[in-house]
Amino acid sequence: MTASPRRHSVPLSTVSRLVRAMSATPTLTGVIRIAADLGQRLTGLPTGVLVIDRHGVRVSAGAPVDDRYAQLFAVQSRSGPWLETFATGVAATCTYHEAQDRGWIPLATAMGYGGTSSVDAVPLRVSGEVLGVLSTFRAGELTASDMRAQDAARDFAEVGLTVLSLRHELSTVAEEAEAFRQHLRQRNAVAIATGMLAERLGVSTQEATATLRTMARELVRPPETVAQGVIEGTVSPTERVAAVRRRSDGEGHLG
Amino acid sequence: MVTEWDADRIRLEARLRAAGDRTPVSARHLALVCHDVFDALGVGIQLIADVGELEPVHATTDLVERMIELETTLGEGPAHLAVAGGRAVLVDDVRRHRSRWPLFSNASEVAGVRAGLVFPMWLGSGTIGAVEVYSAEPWRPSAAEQDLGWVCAEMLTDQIVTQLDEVDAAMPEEFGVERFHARWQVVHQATAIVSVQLQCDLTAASLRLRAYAFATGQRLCEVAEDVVGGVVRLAPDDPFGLDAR
Repeated sequence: MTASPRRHSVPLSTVSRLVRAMSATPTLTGVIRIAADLGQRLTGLPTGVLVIDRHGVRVSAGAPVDDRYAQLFAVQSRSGPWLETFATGVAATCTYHEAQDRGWIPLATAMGYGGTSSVDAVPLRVSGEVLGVLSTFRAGELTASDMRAQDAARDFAEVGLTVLSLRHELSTVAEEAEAFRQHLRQRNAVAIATGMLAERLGVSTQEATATLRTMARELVRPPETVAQGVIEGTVSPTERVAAVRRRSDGEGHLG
Repeated sequence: MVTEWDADRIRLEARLRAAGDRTPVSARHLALVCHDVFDALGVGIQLIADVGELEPVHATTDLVERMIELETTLGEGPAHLAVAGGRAVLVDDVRRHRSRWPLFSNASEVAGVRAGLVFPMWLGSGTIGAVEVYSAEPWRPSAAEQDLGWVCAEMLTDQIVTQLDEVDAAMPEEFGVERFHARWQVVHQATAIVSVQLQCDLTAASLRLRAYAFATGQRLCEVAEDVVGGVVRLAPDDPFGLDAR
């Protein structure tokens, strides 16, 4: 098997630049691509990242971008030790022979093609929850230095995923806040439109409420939409609705 | 004692009260528990409405209803500051805050309120309202009391947002499960009526309504009911509504 390229030191400025870029990236694919790149630079080994979101959608990336490893990175989301690590939250190592023994043929084939003897898979956690797996693909023995580099790569990847998760959470809360304001706005619009109709038609607020509902039925629109139209002056009761309201109010008291 | 309370106990007490009422847990149940936590004169909740004005949602006592109406009528008070600044506002003794809120401080003391602690309700990066706790005596809350106040504000925010999610938008009146809040819809109706009568926008109409309440010493809700009932009609050339009846 061909030895994969090894690089034992990475300038701190490069690490810093990649972590900043990862934290500023708004998409999951962007984050895991940078996480894989950073992992590969830190470990000197081909590195893959697999993330499975809450809906079960699997997104994977790998570095370096090289034909030799493309199959390995692609197979992460199909067969191999990754799903076990994801499910159990326990790091695992899978050798070429284990992959063959366990029937992970696409993985074994990709390992053979990429000159890889073992896959080390470690879980990626955000707030204690396993969101994905970071993998390094080795040709030789696992050294203490490899393990330290893998730990660092995992930590940085978790930072990127945590920032992304917080950003997503904030945007969800912002949407929630806007929905909340919209709800209040609609509710008050009905009361305001009722007051306007009552004064314009010379009827009681109860009758104005009934008028608003009749208008909503006639226009086949929700009452709060019609209410907004009344406030903005774009919707007014038809003469028929107004007449019905006036009749129901006896002789009426317009003016 | 406040130190005997924590979030779990507050939640449990609210559930017990709701079970007693045979209804789901609502902001009213949580507010009542907060009232007991602080052994307060009352607890009130206000939310920011569309144009940035505060709108009452719940008050555990009639006195707090009056305090909230007072803040709305005068356009000043600790809730406005808490919402605008996004921080808790302590009024340890209303007498010491006369220069800041001259009208509100005097009116509070007349009503029998001497102190208040107000927490903003945070949702994401913005505030959506305020939770007010009032006391009959000057009050300097301990750090534990302040922490618990934040817990109450957070729980009430969650509850109100959840409550809104569960209410069908086509039946908005169902959100107004609280008497005070339902009553406030009359203020919106009266504002709209005044805007048609005076041919002005809603902001100006709201100001005129509040000015009338202030000038006549009436509660805003009562003035609103009079406007809706046709008892009071404001005229363009009568800014304080002194000739309105």
